[in-house]
Amino acid sequence: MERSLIDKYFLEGLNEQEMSELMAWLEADESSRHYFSRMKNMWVFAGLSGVKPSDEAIKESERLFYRINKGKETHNKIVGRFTYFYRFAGIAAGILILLSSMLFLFLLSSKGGRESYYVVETKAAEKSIVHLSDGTTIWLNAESSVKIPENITRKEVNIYLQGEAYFDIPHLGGRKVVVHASDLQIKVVGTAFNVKNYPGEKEIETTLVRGKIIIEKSDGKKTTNLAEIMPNQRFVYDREKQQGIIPAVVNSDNNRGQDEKFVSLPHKEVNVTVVKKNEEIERYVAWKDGRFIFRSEPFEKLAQNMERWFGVKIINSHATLNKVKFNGSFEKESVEQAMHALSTSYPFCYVVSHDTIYIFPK
Amino acid sequence: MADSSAAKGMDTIKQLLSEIKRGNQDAFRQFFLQTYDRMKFLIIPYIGDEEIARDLLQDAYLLFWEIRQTIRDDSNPEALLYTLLRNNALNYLKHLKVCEKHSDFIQKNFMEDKLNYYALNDPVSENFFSEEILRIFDSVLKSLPEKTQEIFYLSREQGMKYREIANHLDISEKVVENHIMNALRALREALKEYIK
Repeated sequence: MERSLIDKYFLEGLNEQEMSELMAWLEADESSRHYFSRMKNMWVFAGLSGVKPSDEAIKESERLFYRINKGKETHNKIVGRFTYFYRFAGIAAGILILLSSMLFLFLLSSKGGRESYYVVETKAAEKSIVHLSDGTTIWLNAESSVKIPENITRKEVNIYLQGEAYFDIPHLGGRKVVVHASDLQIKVVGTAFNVKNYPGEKEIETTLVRGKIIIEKSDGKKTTNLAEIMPNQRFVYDREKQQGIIPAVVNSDNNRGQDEKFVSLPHKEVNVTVVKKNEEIERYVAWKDGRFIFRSEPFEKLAQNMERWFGVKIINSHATLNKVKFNGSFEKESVEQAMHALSTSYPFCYVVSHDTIYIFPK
Repeated sequence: MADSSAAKGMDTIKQLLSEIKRGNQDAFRQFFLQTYDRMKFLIIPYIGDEEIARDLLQDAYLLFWEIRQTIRDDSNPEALLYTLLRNNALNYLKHLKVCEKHSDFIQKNFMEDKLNYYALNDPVSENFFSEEILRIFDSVLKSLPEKTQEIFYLSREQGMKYREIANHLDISEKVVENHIMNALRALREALKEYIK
């Protein structure tokens, strides 16, 4: 009887319920699993003799030979340094995370000479905390810089951010604080929030933990109101499309999607999704407490964040890996331990040489 | 006639192997061009996503090149390549299974990936590379009525949907399904020793 279900799988395809039936049958009985597997394999192989050559093969061969010849060079570079670095890798990474506040503080004058600014910068694998006289605290993530006016209590305070920072800014009556992140302006009313604005990345992400913020966009002439963000919401702005969304966050009930709603704002270019609740906002701000959390993150993006976090360069010649998504978190792990953990979840080979990590298919 | 040309193709591929083992990139490129479309044809039904399939293929060929010196002279390089590709694909599906369990991925996709994992995990799929079986496939398909052959060709080799075939040939979808069903039965009968 179920054999007809298998026939149907090959003929018109199964709907969800039939699929569950077939699944249940296959899971209950090994011989049916074999039968299904062999039918499917037979079905796949049956057409093989008629395959025609395509242009894609030529294009893909170019890609392969580029990788083969690039791989040769990386292999040569690795020789000899591996063991030396290995011994120190764990210690070095630990120190980099703990002593994270190597900061470069210097005074700058703005163009008109009317206002003076501090600039705080961090390099890769560094973090920094800045305390200001009004009670404001700014955590600065790796490879970031923030420009803060010397007088933080004036009526209008403009802060400029490149990279990622978590702001905790107390509410002072009559004071207006604006954080500038590329062409976005984040208007702050006594609040704690995170902004991620790395120049090379496609999106600018703002996560609000407490209070209220209003996000505006300015192209020099005209200022547009994009969104008002409530606690536990994120605003993700696509630089290229010049559009922002408030994405739903997967919560523990696994009901992503159901809480999403489409709302049109007065300004047509912005689509905003409203989420009812959001319990996992934590992971976007955990970095300031020394934790690196990632959820459903494609390796491509994860590698970018790891380069900053560990202060390394990652050279990946394993193309499939880029699209594979990972969940996890790092705290005191060295980059070696982190790589090891990732490679047990999805197999790949890696070699650490100084501060460069080479990745190959296994 | 088709049989002899298939066998001839096999010979040249085996000849290429000794050159590839010596590190001859031109020989490897020839091997790539001769086998790429076949490999893609074999892996797409389990993976679905074209882009992922292309990347899996890339990694399999790269690995083949890296281990070339360890390949035995009497092995069938195409079957070996398929084994590497199949391993990559299984790793990918296995990882996907873990991820999907924890995500909002719709249930049907999850089940499809699991079915594909079962099928690909069956070691018999590698046996299908034997010349004997490939010959059986050929002769079974040639013994079918012309219409059935044509419809099978459009479906399996051109990847057309049954509805598209029905429109293309101006027949009903039901008739298309019947032809496919007959092809399936004939194959199952001829290969019953192998799929038991």
